[in-house]
Amino acid sequence: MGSVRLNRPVSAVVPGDAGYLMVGEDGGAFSFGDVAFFGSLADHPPATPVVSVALKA
Amino acid sequence: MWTDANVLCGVGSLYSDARPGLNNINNGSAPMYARVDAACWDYAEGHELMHTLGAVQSGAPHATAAGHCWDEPDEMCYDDGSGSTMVTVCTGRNPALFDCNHDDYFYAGVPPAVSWLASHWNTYNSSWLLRAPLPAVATVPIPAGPSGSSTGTGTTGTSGTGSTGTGTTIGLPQPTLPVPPIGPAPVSHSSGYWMLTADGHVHPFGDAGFFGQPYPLPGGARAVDLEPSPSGQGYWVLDSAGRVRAYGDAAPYGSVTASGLDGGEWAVSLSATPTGAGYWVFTSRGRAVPFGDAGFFGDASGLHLNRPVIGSVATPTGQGYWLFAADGGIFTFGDAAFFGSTGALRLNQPVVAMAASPTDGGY
Repeated sequence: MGSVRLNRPVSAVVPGDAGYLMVGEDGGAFSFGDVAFFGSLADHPPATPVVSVALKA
Repeated sequence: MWTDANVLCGVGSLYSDARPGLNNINNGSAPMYARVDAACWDYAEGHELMHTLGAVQSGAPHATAAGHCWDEPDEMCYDDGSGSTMVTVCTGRNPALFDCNHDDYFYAGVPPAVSWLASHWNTYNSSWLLRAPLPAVATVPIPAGPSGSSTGTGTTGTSGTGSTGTGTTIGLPQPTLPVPPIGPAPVSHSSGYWMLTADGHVHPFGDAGFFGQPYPLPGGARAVDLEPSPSGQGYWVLDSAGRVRAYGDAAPYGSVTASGLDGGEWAVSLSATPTGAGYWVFTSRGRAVPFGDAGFFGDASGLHLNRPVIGSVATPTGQGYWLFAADGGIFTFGDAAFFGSTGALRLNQPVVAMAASPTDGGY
């Protein structure tokens, strides 16, 4: 992520078994390791910042 | 001004002056300021700017004692801790709109004679609001010459029925740190996820279900954390005022009432116990408030914090938790182990989130 230019700051992260998911205030999602990507809000940024993210078991 | 900081949500100047005329102090007689910190950009500007236009005067019919109102939904209304009880008067109205029923601070036109605004300050009359038609062709402002500077002199009102010259700043007391953190214990093979936005919208992805959302939140409150139930068939949503809302199979076990939060304190995160039969609510001052089968293992409320606590993570056993602060300080309780912190480092940006490893051997 250090080399990625973000539109908005990362605002939350949640761990998986061997990875994690980061999300930005604009709803951008960045998955790493064993956490799969299922979509983001990047194409339709929310009116207010994303403040929390949680994985479904 | 927009401040690249995360100290508060927003704050705006407001003079206590209810006089209706254009010599109202809030109509440009004195310097006034509005500030919005990074986490509330695109969110709190309207609220703070309306303060600087002179809303809400304490004598207005639905005013709180701290420059807001209680007849919701309304951009200027929220439980600001001054003792007013919030009441939904304009059911179904967009909470981003100003002045429910247009009877406290903004009436677009000439208010009816019976209206409080007919004889008091109506921000619609502010000289700062553009009411004339826009010009057909934009004109380019001509910079002032070398002699164009001016020196302002303060003006205080000396007549009328309103009190004068009482400047104050009115702020939104919510957390402004962009992130309420995480909470759930590590999850294997996730099949989806939820995102929560500050205005209370819940966005599911993958096979994560939608079970409800707190949008719109009562004026001023902001959603700060979403925590799934152990089954994944529900979740809790916490707002900055300490209210917990349960959806799907997540059961409600209680909230931190407004009276349970000190001035300048806000709820920052919620962590569920492994059974899902309880949870902790954590606050910016490091307090831990347990509900249901959650145990109390101590907290940081007695410590002097350099920066506010912004989140929590419960240990997988449910017998402890970590709290972390914006400066990277880590506070451990119960069986949560300490593996280091960045509290002694000078950070370029504040810490916004924390995640524990599945083995409980790090974070």
